[in-house]
Amino acid sequence: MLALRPAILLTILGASLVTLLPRLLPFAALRAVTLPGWAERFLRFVPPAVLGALLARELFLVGGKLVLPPANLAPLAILPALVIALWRKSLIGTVLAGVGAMFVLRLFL
Amino acid sequence: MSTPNSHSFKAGLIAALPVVPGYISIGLACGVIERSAGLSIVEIFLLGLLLYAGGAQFVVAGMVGAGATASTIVPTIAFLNLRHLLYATALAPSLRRLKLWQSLSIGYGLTDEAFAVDSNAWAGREAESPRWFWGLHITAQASWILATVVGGLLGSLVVDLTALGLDFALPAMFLGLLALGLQGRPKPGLGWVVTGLGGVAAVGLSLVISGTLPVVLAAVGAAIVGAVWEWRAEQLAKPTGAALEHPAGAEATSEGRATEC
Repeated sequence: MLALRPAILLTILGASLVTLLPRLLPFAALRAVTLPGWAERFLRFVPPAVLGALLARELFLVGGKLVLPPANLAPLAILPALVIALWRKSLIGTVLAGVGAMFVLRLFL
Repeated sequence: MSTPNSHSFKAGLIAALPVVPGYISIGLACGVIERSAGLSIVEIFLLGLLLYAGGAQFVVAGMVGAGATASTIVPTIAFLNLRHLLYATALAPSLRRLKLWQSLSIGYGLTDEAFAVDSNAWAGREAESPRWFWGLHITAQASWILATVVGGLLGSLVVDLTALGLDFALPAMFLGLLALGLQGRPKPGLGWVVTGLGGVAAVGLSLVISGTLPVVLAAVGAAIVGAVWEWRAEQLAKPTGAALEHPAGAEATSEGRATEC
């Protein structure tokens, strides 16, 4: 239970290193450099593009396959969350609406 | 929440709260799976502390359980986590004024969710202190490590939190951050178009490519489309300079002003 095996430690350290590098390198590399205007313009669109990609995968993929309602409840549960997000502009309210909708859907469907 | 008026650790901690329920429910599940793959509590703790990436930790557990070694696991994880390069690059301009070690300490805690909250709060602004980020990242990572260790300790005794809908906290949070972030922009419409493009491309690509490479490809592609679209709109608006005074034009150009002057 408390074991730390060398082979597993090597795996953990290796996986952590290759994860750390992309997390850290840009901060060191971009300090001295001022990005050109087109790069800053591109980077401004990265957050919505990434969020759209992550969200759509969460909503529509189940085990790597495209699954639509009624077999997949996620695209339905997101609708109340969308209403709250646009109407109340509250992050915690959006999360609660989504979780609540998913709970109710799983209860009845 | 989208524009913090405080750099304090406490404000960052509060900004982390929407992330915590998702991390706890998914972290518990991750811990259970890591334990059942034969990983010890110490190893589970180290994975949360050093690797700290939900999807990657599930993959490590699966591959260790299947008897794989570092030589195949490490390249797989490298590929899976390449998307952090995009996050760090996008966040770097906001952290330019911090000391190097401070920005690196923030980069250490960059997950999908942390990046979503960070970029929403600091888009187009430069932070003067790392404390807000530390409050957010330490709270998020602490809840993740705690959840994976508890999941590992309890093993299969863990109640199924997905029945409560808690696993849906993360997608709902992505949506909330999207809506809040885009409404603070000069042109929310184009932002939603980019979001939709990223989503459709990511799902489509995910059907033919495994791992998280589809996220990177879809996000880069959609962001390029958004940038080119915005640039073209500004080019077309230029000759009729008077239009800039017009309310309809003002909406389109507050971001582009720097390049016009």
